[in-house]
Amino acid sequence: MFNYIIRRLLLVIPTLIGITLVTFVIINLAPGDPAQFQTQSIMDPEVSIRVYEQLREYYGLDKPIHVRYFNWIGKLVKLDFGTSMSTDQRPVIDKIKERLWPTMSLAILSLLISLSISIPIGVYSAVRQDRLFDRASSTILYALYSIPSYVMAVPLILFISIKWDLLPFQGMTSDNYDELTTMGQAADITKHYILITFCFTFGALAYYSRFIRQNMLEVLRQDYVRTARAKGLKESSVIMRHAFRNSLIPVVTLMGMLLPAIIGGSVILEVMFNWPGLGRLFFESMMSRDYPTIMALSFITACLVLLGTLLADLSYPFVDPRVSYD
Amino acid sequence: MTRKNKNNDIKEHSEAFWAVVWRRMRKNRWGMFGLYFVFLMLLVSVLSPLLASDQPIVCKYQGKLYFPAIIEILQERGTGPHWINKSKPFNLPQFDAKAELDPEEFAIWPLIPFSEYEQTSDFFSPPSAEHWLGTDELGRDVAARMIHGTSVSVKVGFISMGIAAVIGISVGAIAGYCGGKVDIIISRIIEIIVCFPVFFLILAIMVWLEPSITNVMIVIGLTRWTSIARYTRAEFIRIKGQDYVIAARALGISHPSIMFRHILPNSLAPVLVSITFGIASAILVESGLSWLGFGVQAPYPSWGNILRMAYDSLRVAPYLVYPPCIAIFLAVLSYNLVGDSLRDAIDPRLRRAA
Repeated sequence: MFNYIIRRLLLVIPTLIGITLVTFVIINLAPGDPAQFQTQSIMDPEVSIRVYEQLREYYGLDKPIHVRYFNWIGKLVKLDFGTSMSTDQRPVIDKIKERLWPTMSLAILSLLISLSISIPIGVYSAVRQDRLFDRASSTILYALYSIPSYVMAVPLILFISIKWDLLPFQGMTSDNYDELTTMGQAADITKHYILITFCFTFGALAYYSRFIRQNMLEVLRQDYVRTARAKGLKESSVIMRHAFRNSLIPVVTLMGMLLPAIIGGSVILEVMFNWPGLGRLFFESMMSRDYPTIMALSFITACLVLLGTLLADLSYPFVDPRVSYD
Repeated sequence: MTRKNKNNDIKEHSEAFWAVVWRRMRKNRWGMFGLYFVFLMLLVSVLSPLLASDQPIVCKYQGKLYFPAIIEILQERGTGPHWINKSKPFNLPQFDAKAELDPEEFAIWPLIPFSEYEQTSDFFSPPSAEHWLGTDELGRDVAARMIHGTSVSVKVGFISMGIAAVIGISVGAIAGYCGGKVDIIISRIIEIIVCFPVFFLILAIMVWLEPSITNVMIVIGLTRWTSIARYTRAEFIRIKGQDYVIAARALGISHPSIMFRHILPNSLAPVLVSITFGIASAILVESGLSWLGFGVQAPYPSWGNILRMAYDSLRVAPYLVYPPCIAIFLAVLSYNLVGDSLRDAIDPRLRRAA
C-alpha cells in the first residue's frame, strides 16, 4: 500500500513538469516580446514603461529561453506568480487565495449533493429497470444532462430572482451583509448559494445517475450476483452489499474526471452570478489582459485537477479490496 | 463460384457493417429525432437568406426579374461590409419600404422579412405577428438573428471537430500502432493536456488571439482532440493484433498504408461516437465564449451573444431569453441523442445497459 502511494506520487512528477511546460508555452505564444505585447494596450506611457520593465524582469527576457524556463520554475516552487497587471498591483497569489474558497466550496458542495442524490436514483432505477420510475427518471435525467448549466441559469434567474423575487443571484452576500446578525448573515450566504449551487450540480447529478444506473445494470448481470441470490440472501443485501459496492469502482474514476468539468464550467456561471470565485477572476484577468494571473490560474487549476485524479487513484483500494498494488 | 462473384461477396460484406448500423439507428425514435433536428439545423444555416432577409427572394423591378436572396446564398456571407457592398445593386429603396409595388412589379419576401443586422424603430417589442420572437435593444428582429446564428453553431460544430478529428485520429493511430515508447510519450502528453479544464485552456489561448469565429473554431479543434485520440488509440491496439493486419504486414505493405487503409476504417465507429458528442460540446463552448464576449463579435449573430443580450436585458425583455436557450438546448440534445443511438447501434450489447 505504502509502496503504491509512493509510486503513484512519483508518477505525478512528469505530469507536473508537463503542466509547467504547457503553461510556459502559452505564455510564450505571444508573437515577439511578451512584455511588449502585454504592455501595448496600456495607454499611459509612464505606466506602460513601468509595467514593461516589471515584466521584463519577471520573465527575465534578456536571457535564453531554457534559462527563463528554469527561473520561472524556481519562482513557481516558491508560489511566486508575480504581480497582477490590473490596477490593484497586488501579488497574484493573494488574489487567487481569496478566490479559491468560493469556487472550491461550490465544487465540493455540488459533488456531495450530486453523489448523495444520484446514487439512490441510479441504484433504484437499475433495480427496477423499465418500471415507471426508471422510465420517467431516465427521460428527465437525459433532458437535464443535455441542458448546459448557463442555459439553465438564465431562465432560473428570470423566474426565481426577478419575477418572483425569491432568491438573490448577485454575489455571495447582500449589500447590507455587515449590518446583519450572525444568524442573518448565515441565512444570507445560504440564500446566495442556492441558485448557483443548483446550476453547478444538476448536470453532474444527471450524468452520475445515468452512469451509476448503467454500472449497476452491468453488475447485476454478473455471476456473483446470481450466486448471492441463489444462496438465498435477502434482495436488499444482494443489492447493497454485493452489487452496489462493485458498481462504485468506476464512479471513483469519474469523480476525478468531473473536477475539471466543474472548474472549467465555473467561468460563465460565476460571471453570470457575479460570484467571487476563480472562474470570475479568470474572466476579469482576461478583460484586463492580466497575464500573470491568467497563467497562475491555468497552472493552479491544472494542479488541482491532477490532485483530484490522484486522490481518485489512491482511493481505489478502499473502494475495491481486490485492488491492491503491492 | 466465379472470381467476380467472390469479389462482390466481399464487397457486400464490408459494406454491411454500416448498413446494419443504419438499420438499427432507424429503429431508435429519439436518435432519429436528433438526426432530423441536425438536418434541420443544416438546412436552416444553408438557406438562412431565404428564411430571413431584408431583400426579396424573387422580385420584378422595372421589367426585370431579380433573385437577391438567392444570390446571397451563393455569396460569401457573414463578412460584414464586404457582403453588404456585394448585395448593393439589389438593395433598392422600394424594397426597403416593404410595401406593395406597382401592379406589374412584385416581390416575394422571405418568411421573416428582416436581416440579422437590420435595426427597426421598435426596441424591445415583445413577440408579435410582425416580429415573431420580438426585437432586441437595437430593434433587430430576434427571429432573423436566431436563423442566421444557426450557421455559426453548425460551422463551429463541424469545422472544429473536423480539426480535432484529424489531430486526434492521427495522434491516436500513431500511439496505438507504434506502441512502446511512442505510445507512452503520447499518452503522457494527453494526460497532461487533460489536466487543464478545457474552457480555461481555450480562454488562455484566446487571450492572444482576436476574438472571431475562425479563431474559436481553431482553438476548439486544437484542444478537443484528446478523447478522440484515446478512442482511436484503444481501437488500434485492439485491431493491430488481428489476423488481417498481420497478413497485411507479412505481404510487406507499408506501415502508413496498414494504418490508414486497413486498420482505420475498422476503428472509426467508436471514434465517430466521440466526434458526435464533441460537436455538442463544441457548440456549447462556442456559445459560452460568445456569451462572455470572446467568441463571435457584436454585430454578427450567434446563439451565445443573443443569449448574452437577453441576459443583459432580463428585466426589460424577459421573452428574449427563450429562443437562444431552447435552440442551444435542442442542438446539444440532438447531438447527444444521435451520439447515443449511434453507440447503441454500433454495439448493441451496451444498449440494454444504457
